[in-house]
Order: sequence, then structure tokens, then C-alpha cells
Amino acid sequence: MEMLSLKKEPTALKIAILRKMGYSSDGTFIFNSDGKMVIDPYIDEAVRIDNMVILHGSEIILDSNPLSLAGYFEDHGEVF
Amino acid sequence: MPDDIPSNSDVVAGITKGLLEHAEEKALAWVERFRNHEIVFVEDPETIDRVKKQRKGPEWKMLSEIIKDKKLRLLAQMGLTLRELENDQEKTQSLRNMIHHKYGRDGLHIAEAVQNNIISNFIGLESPNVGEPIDLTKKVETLLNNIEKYIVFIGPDDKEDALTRRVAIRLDADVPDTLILFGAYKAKRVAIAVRGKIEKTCPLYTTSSVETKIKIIIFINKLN
Repeated sequence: MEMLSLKKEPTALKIAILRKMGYSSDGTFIFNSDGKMVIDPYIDEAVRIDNMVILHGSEIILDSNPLSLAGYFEDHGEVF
Repeated sequence: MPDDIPSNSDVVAGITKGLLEHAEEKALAWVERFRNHEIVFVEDPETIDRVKKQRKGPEWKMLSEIIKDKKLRLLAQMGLTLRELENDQEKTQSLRNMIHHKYGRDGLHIAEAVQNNIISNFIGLESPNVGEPIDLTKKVETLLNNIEKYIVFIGPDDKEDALTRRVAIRLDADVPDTLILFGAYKAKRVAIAVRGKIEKTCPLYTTSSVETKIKIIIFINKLN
């Protein structure tokens, strides 16, 4: 599975991706379809649009950091 | 201005509309690929590559076979990450903050114990003495779950005499099979001094150590 980096992509594109997945964003934080802020369960902090990863497993949006990613791999295996 | 020449604001609006439409089309195509499990969206591939590479390393393979508890496994892996990031102060501090925020001081100490090779050395020392793999798992997980009880992280401001008293009291009160002292930089000298005094005053215990130029791990083991 390919890792597609959003690092250099404009915020408008990231927001468009999120919208197509049923989320929204104020340009900084991400909100689910109920309007609740998306929290990374591995660090208990809100995910920022400028440092997010979107992974499989019911479309999991996490912060891009070693703790969250290692937690994801522990829970889901190395699926990509 | 003639009617057939667009104004500047019309041009800007047209470009913006075009860019947004392009973003929409691109997003649609990418989300389609995501849903087909062809891609995942990442910010910085380097972070993911580092985590994946670490999980393939020999130390993680060894630790992951022994440590079964989910939280401890994660903290152990973060210890390896902290070690790898040691030369990047900003990233190290950021990760330390996250670990502390989620798992508190004990969690950070567990990661630091792995970072500083304390756990791998402990496993190396204990492996010959345990019968079944499950016994080693129990020993290591007990150590990690009681990190403040079994590992003394010596700080640069700790005083030799006060620390020696603290260690001696702990040995007398809890009678642990193993108590570990860890000191780095200035605290390494303190650790060595405390060891000398403990050897003289606690005849029921024997010591051994592993050291580098800047760090020392001292194992104080109960004599059988």
C-alpha cells in the first residue's frame, strides 16, 4: 500500500479530502460528522490538519508522531 | 473598461474557483484510492518509516517476545524511539511530553529505562535464571509496572549520603531481589559512590554494573 504524503499539499485539498470522508475542518482542527473534535486516542490530544495521518481501520485519523503510529501498529498490525 | 475584458477581481475569482475545483477532483480521486486500500494519507513518511524499521530491529524483536502487556509494549517501543532520537532535542522533547501527558511520570520512566538499556541488560542478567519464558515475562512486567520501586533514576542534584540512606532503607524494607541504580553524566559519579557504600553496609546484596562513558547501570542483587 502506498503512503501518500500530504505534507506539501494545500490546506484546501486536505479539507476537501476530509469532507469526502464525512469530516470537516476549521483549517486547524478536524471534526467528525457529529461535529465533535477528532481526538487521537494514543496521545489524548486533538488532531491538527497540518500533522494528520488517515489510516485504515474505519478511517482512523491520528496525529503523525511515533507514539500514535506505534500504537496503531500494535492494534492493527503492520497493514501497510 | 469594455464589457468583454474581465476585471482583476473576476480573474482572481476564476482562478480560485479553478483551484478549488481541481482540489475537489483530486480529493475525490484520492479518497477513491484510499477506499480501495491502495493508499493511506500521511504527513511525514519518515516518521512512519522510523516506527516500522524499529519494529523490525533485533532489540524490539527480543522485547516484544517478552513484554506482552499492551501499554508496556508501547512504552518499550517509545524507549527505543527516544534512544534513536537522542541527537534531535526538539523531537525528543516533543515525544517525552506526549508520553508524560498520556502515561505520567511512571510511563516516561518506563520508556527511559528501555532507552538507557536498563531493561535489555536486566533481561540479559535474568534470562539464565528463569525456567519458562512466562516467568521472564512476569519478572520484566513486574519491574516495569513498579518502576519507581525497583529502579532509582539518580538526578544530577541527588546527594550521595541522602541517596545511600534511601537505597539502604529500601533494601531493608522491601528486600527486593533486584534494585537498579541508573546515573548519567554528573549522576554517574553519584551512582558509583552510592554503590561503594551499599557494598559495605548491605552484606545481603551483591552488585554488578554495565557502563558507558556517560552512563552507568548498577544492579544490586540479593544473595541467594
